[in-house]
Amino acid sequence: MTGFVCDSIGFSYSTRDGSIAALKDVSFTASGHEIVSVVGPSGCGKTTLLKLLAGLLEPTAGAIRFSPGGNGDRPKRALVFQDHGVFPWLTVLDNVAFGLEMQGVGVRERRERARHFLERVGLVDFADRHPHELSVGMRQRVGIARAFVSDFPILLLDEPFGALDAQTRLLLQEELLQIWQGERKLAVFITHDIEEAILLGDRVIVMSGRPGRILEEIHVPLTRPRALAAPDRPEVTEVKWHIWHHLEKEARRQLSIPE
Amino acid sequence: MAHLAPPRERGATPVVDPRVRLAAHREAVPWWVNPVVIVLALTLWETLVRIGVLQALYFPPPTAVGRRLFELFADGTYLDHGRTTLYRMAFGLVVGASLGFFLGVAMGRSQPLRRIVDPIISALYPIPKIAILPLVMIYLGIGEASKLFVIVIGAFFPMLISTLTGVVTIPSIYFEVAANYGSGPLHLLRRVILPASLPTVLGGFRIALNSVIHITIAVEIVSAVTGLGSLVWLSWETLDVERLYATLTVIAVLGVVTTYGVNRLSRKLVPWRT
Repeated sequence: MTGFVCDSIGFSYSTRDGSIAALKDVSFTASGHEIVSVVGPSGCGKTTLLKLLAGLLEPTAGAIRFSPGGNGDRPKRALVFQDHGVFPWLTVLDNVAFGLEMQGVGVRERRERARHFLERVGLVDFADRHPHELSVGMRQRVGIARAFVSDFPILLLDEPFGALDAQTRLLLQEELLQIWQGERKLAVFITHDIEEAILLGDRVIVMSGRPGRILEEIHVPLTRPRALAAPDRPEVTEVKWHIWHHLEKEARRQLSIPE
Repeated sequence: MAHLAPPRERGATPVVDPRVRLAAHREAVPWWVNPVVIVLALTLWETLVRIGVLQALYFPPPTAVGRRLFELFADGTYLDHGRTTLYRMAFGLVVGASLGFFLGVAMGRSQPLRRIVDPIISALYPIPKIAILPLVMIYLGIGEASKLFVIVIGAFFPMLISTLTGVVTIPSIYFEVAANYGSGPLHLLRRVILPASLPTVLGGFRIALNSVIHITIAVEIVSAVTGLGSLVWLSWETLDVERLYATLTVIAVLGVVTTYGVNRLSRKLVPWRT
């Protein structure tokens, strides 16, 4: 089964003022077809964690083990970025097909597969447009489409809806769940939005401020498939406030609001 | 205030903030204004010469310049010299811009190379290129080679600096996306580095073109017996002011046409920046 184990990983980087620890002693596992949400205050190293999982950075302590673990068959991970993750010089179609291009899929086939996916999510009319002609929300959908079309077993999403207005965000959350329901990959979803973490995740990992550590791992009391209104249920509200109490201290500190 | 305006009716013109409308009006100068202004200015010039306010020897009337222009085209003078000048410009631009581009990409991607070469570039860049012509002639002789060398240098620097800037300022997220999907170095160059830096690179190419026009004419004035620049100098030496004006007109047209061509090309190559 596809999955990974983070074994007390840490990450620190050096600056002029010495070494700064971004992550400390982070351990968790993920496997199968689940969505793991990671929520934490801004600057807690969530994005660093995701880059470590993507292999763009190497942990300075501990290790990440993937299964299957062989060098060649280690599961590929597709990143979905916060913003600006799509290439402005490629059309929507070629952006979506970019991951397939890297895998050596011929131009005709990858365009066909990308077009097929765009049809499914209703973006096919924009296939030949460039990203600057699209709204921010649509650009994010293109980034998500690229990750799904590449068909990597693990998805890493870095606050993909962070820059969107509330309505757009709600619709895209729903769409993401819908696509995921059909494709069933292992996904790590990073967000600073507690409700989003609960709505999307099977588990929520709550992180502290810098250096980022795991404060608690919470099982989300919701079944799948889920409805948009799910977070209104009382047991979910309880989880929400539970997480909020974890994060409140850090949020106040960052804003200099006394407790 | 736009939001206080009455609701728009179907088919009615859009309600626009009056300030926006003003700005739009200010820009709407009809196309024929420019040619009319030019014709008026030329007519004024012609008249002032005809009634004797300006001396024809120093300010040849536009009709005389035009006649001269026609003659020099008809007898092949401009075609010969123009071809020589164009060839020098094209050679300098192609060779200099290519070298500048490749070194720019290499420096943009390699911090050590940048650290080593950057001070040298910074020291050489501000020297007016025409000033190194004597030195170059010591090594390459007074022939064509030293002229071409200086023109190449003229295109090289702006292209190098723009390409370097273009590559260094590519947002790191594009490299991360490419790395995440497993891009190799060549693919990265073709699919990310080239297109991402292209707008800045084309800006550099425009500056290189401009620089090449300047330096080619300057080199020809200083040391050539062929080319439009040499004609300018020859006209001064013989006090042939009509030919001076005519030749400058040819140079101006050459500059306008090539710049227009490069601008058109830019828009075609960078459709995502419109």
